[in-house]
Order: sequence, then C-alpha cells, then structure tokens
Amino acid sequence: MSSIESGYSQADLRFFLPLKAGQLVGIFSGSIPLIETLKADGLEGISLSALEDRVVGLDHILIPVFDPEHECFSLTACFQRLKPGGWVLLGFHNSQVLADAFPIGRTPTRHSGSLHEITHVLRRSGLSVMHCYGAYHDLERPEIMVPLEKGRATRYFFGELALSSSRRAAWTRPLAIAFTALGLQRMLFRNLVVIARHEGGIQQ
Amino acid sequence: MIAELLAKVETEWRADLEQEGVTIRPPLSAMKIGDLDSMNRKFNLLIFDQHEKYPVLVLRVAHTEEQRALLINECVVLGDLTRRAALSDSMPRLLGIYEHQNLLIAAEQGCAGISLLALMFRHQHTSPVWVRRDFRLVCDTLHKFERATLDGTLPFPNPEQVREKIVQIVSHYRSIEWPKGCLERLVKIADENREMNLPGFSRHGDFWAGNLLLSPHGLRVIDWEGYSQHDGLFHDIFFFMTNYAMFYPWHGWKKCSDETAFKNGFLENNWLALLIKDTIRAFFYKWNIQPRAVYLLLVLFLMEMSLPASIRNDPRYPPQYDKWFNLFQTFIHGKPLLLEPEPISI
Repeated sequence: MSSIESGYSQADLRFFLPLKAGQLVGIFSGSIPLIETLKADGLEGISLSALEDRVVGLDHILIPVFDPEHECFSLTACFQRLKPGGWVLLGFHNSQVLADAFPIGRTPTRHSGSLHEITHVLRRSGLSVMHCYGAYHDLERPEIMVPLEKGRATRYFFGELALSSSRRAAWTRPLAIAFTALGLQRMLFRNLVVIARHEGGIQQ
Repeated sequence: MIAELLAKVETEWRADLEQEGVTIRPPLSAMKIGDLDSMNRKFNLLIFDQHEKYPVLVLRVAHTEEQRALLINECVVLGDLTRRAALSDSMPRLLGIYEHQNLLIAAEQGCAGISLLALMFRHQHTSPVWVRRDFRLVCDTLHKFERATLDGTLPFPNPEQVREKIVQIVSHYRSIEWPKGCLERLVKIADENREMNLPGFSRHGDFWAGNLLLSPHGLRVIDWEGYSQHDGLFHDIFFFMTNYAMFYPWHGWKKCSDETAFKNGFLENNWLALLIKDTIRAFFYKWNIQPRAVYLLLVLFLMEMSLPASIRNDPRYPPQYDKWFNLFQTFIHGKPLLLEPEPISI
C-alpha cells in the first residue's frame, strides 16, 4: 500500500472507534484504504453486504456513508449483528441542514435523514449516540471532523479555520457563528457522523 | 481511540500538562484535522474545553514509522528552539510526548489566532496597508528565526553548481525553451558572486501563509516537522512569497490560475508585485545580498522545487513539482524587472 495514495481520509475514521486487534468489524464501504488499514491493524473486516443470513457477532460496525436508497440492507437488521457493548460509526447526509444555506461541504445528491431520525433508528436497536461530528469536506473526504456536542469547536471552525474562498462563504460565516451561539451547530453541516454504542438487547 | 486519548488527557497526562501551564477542564472534545494533500498522513486533534475560545491543546498523532520520524524531528526542534528567548513567543510550546498503543503523540500548546491564509481567503488583510504590515511581521519573525539558528556560512552557488542544476532540469523536462541569454546570465551572476558567503541558518521547511497564525499578540509559526538545519538558499522567504502571490485574491472571488497569480506577484507592474519586490530586497539587504544575487537564488529555488526530489520540501499528493516547473518557466520567460538582475544604467 503506497503511502502517497489518496483517499486515506475515510480510512482515518477508524480512529473514532475503540478498535482492538483481533476484533471483528462489519464494514459497508468501497474504500479500499479503509479495508486495508483495518487489516493492517490486525482486525478482521467483513463486508456488510456479504453478511446475508450468517450469524456473527460484530465488535464494531463502520458505515462511512449511509445512503438508504442505495443500500441493500436495513440498518436495524445490520445492528442486530452487533455484540452488546459494540460500537457503530455511521456517516449520513443530513436532511435537517439549515436551508442548505451554508456551503459547508459538497451538496449530496440525496439526504439520508435527520440526526433525530438516525438517533431514533439507533435507539430502536439498543444503541446510544455518544458523539456527533460534522464532516468537512464530505463523507468521502472527511478532512475535518468537528465535534458538535457543544458550540466551541464549531465556532472555531467557522471563525478561524481557512475554508473556501467564496462570496457565499464570506456572508454565511457570521450567520453560522450566530447559529452556533444558539446551539444549532448540528444544523450547519450537510454531512454528519455519529458514534454510537450498543447498550444491551434490542428494544421492542 | 480518540475518546481514549481524551480520557488520557483528562486523567493520566493531566498532571504533566498542568505542570506545563495548561489548565485541563473536562469535559473535553476533539476536532480531528487530517491533511488530505499530504503524503505523510499524520493527523492533529485540536482539544477544546467548555471555556476557551481557542483549542487549549493540540495533539499531533503519528501512526506510521515515517510519520513518527517526522514528529520526533518536530519535537526535537520545538524543544530546542523554544528554549531560545528570541523565538519562544513565535512558536508553539511542546508540552509532552506520549505513546498510546502504536501511536506517538506530541502534545503542543494550542495557539490563538487565525492563519494568514484564512484572512486572505476572506479578503481581509489584502489592502496595501495590511499587506505591508503583515509582510513586515512575517519578515521580522523569519529574520529572528534565521539569526537565532545562524551557524557558520555556506558558499554562494558557483557556476558549476548552477550548470549542474540546469542539467538536472533539462534532463527531467527535456523540452525547455530558454529565453535568449538566460543561461548565460545565471552563470554570470554565479561567477560575479563567487567570493560571497551565505549565512548558514535553519529552514522551517513549510513557511507559508497557512502555517502563520496572527493574533493581537503577534505572529506564531506552526507545523515544524519539515525543519532542517543549514539552509543557505533562503527557502523559507521564497516559499512564503511565491505561495503568497499564488493565494492572493487577484480577481476578487473568482479563481485565478497559479501561473497568472505568480506572474502578477513577480513579473507584472502592480502595487503588490512592487511590495513583494521591495520586501524581498529589504530582507536580503539585511544579509548584505544584492538584488542580482537574489534573482539567481530565486531561480535556483524554483528549479529545486521543480525537481521530483522537491517532494521533501512540499510533501503533497499529487506531487506539486510540475506546478513549480510551470512557475519556473513563467519566471524565466517574464521580464525580470522586479529583481532587476541587470544594473540600471542612468
């Protein structure tokens, strides 16, 4: 694996989970660097699309980009394979972005749901959302992952970091900072990544 | 893993960090920044608490052997340079080095401020008054760094070395159209300065607007992993100025090609090009180096950046040396008025 290959930023998503060598990870991603780096870290990766009806207990599930119209599996069925205490990383296109006014990341072709809806699906499967991040530029190239629990980091992201040089970015930046002050930072990113943990059995 | 690192900061490493003057107030959160363009995919975690506007801490995380070597280099540099009083305010302070699983983590003081690049992107600090002020600040900081790391001298590139560099460029790119008299002029300048010695100081290695943080307290230079000793070719000032010209918003909010931007900054007659010329001249006068010699050093810098070995200086993916070769060609084909390689006859 060449160290100068591009496309490694999605592979870096693995650092958001408490992975340990020897663990079994369900992956839904075409990112070869992600699969290769997991292997190199001593983990066993199984493609979620290849799981079918096999009964396995996964330690972690990695879904860098969830696209409900594209996937051939349901999230609920997928989460049933997770061991109690297991972790999930799920990236999705946020449908509850504030009027698409903020040029943060590329516009996805379709939305996967709101954070509220995704949280609901996770809860139904016995998972609790531990962290939520805004992904910039997008879920394929998450160069910057902004923690969204509180507004400090989001304010710094909009206020101090070098983002795109455009007229639109210039006029939306102060607005984004104002929305952050109101606690609406989760609605400023088109691409969100949630980290969730399985707390026990499936809730009915 | 990131959650584990935050837990370490909040517990195990906390006493060390607080001894270094950083107050850790949990709960902490981490913004992950990875460099998409870098071949060395180290990443940084900016650590925020609930009180400070800026990150209280920066964790630089290396997870391959190559990255570890670069990070260790940076730690040695920060440890050494921040002990020198002249530089302590201009760079982040190294707070500790830690191992966790297979990772090497350098904890650095979080720096307040906004990068000069971000200001340029926002069309702030782009008026003549601001640019002059920023150039003065940048050159003063760079000069201070060069003075502090000065260690002996290096001979000015001689005609043989210049010819050798030309051969390297020609053998790599084949089809170079040299303007009439250009090669002779380069060799002639080298010959004129045969007796000159250049100061031997260190180079930051990635001295561009994205790594310069401006705040009311002054300017801080971050990202020291490309530091190396004994750079007699003034890499940092040329890297800064060429990149500055390329990122300056010449056409307002419309994009401008690298070649056009570089041409505007180094070859055209406009206020910024004149300011760049004056700033470079003033910078080199402090080292007693005349404009004709500066012209040759700039050409050699562009040639060095145009060769595949320059990936050491600019480790981005895809490699950038073709871009630099275009700038080199633009420069040698332009009228070299700004650095006035020929004495003006009155």
